[in-house]
Amino acid sequence: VADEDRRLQLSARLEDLRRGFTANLPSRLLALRSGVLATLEGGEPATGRWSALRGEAHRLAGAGTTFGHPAVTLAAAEVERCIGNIEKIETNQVAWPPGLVAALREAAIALGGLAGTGVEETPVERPEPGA
Amino acid sequence: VNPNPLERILLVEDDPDIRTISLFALEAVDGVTVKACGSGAEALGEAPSFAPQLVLLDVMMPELDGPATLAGLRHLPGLERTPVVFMTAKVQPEEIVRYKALGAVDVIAKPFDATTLGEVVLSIWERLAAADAEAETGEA
Repeated sequence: VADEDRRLQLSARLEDLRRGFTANLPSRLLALRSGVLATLEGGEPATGRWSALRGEAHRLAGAGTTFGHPAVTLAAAEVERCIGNIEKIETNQVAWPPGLVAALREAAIALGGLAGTGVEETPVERPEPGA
Repeated sequence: VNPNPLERILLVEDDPDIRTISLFALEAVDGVTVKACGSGAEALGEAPSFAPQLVLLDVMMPELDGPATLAGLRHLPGLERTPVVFMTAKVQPEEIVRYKALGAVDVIAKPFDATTLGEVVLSIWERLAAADAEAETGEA
């Protein structure tokens, strides 16, 4: 009984966390998309900004599936990967290749698009008592 | 019965969402106390007094990342051999080889299922205990 109580208590706590994460998700996705697009439009090396944006993409990729949003993990991981490619180019002081810019822009738009596709309504599986 | 039950876990994770969900999941394990740190530097400060039996360490963190934190832990009295498990999304075979070469005893892939994290950690602990027991038998 103690194990069962502990399991149910954990499920309830995890569900609360998931709700909080999910409620903030649309604004985080849109902010990341805006940040990436604005930095690309700036057209200049932006090491510090890329690092911050990549960090946020990394956090979303790492947390998405854990909080019930696998599509966010996939899309954010792609943004993180594309930003990493841009950063490597900047390290070598070479202009951004159009292909990399296009890939990152596409990835950012796709990620931001998830904000309007009901991520906030993703159902959370909760075990039935005794299951 | 493990003669050395897992009682103290040091959790090092910079993402507050993942840190909190991991903390809740690990605290649900019977008899376990968890110290959660948001950075490698904080972990190096807390580790000596907390004396963890196991460290769960995020790999990608700003400033002091997982490998650098692991290296720092190894210089602290009492933590020279404390088992460290990396938590990371980068789990290609060559990356896992690198983590183990750095001294990690295992790797937990992100994203992970929070409802089973405690079981995963306990299974790692049991495996380590079994390996220790086998080594002691071999030495006897």
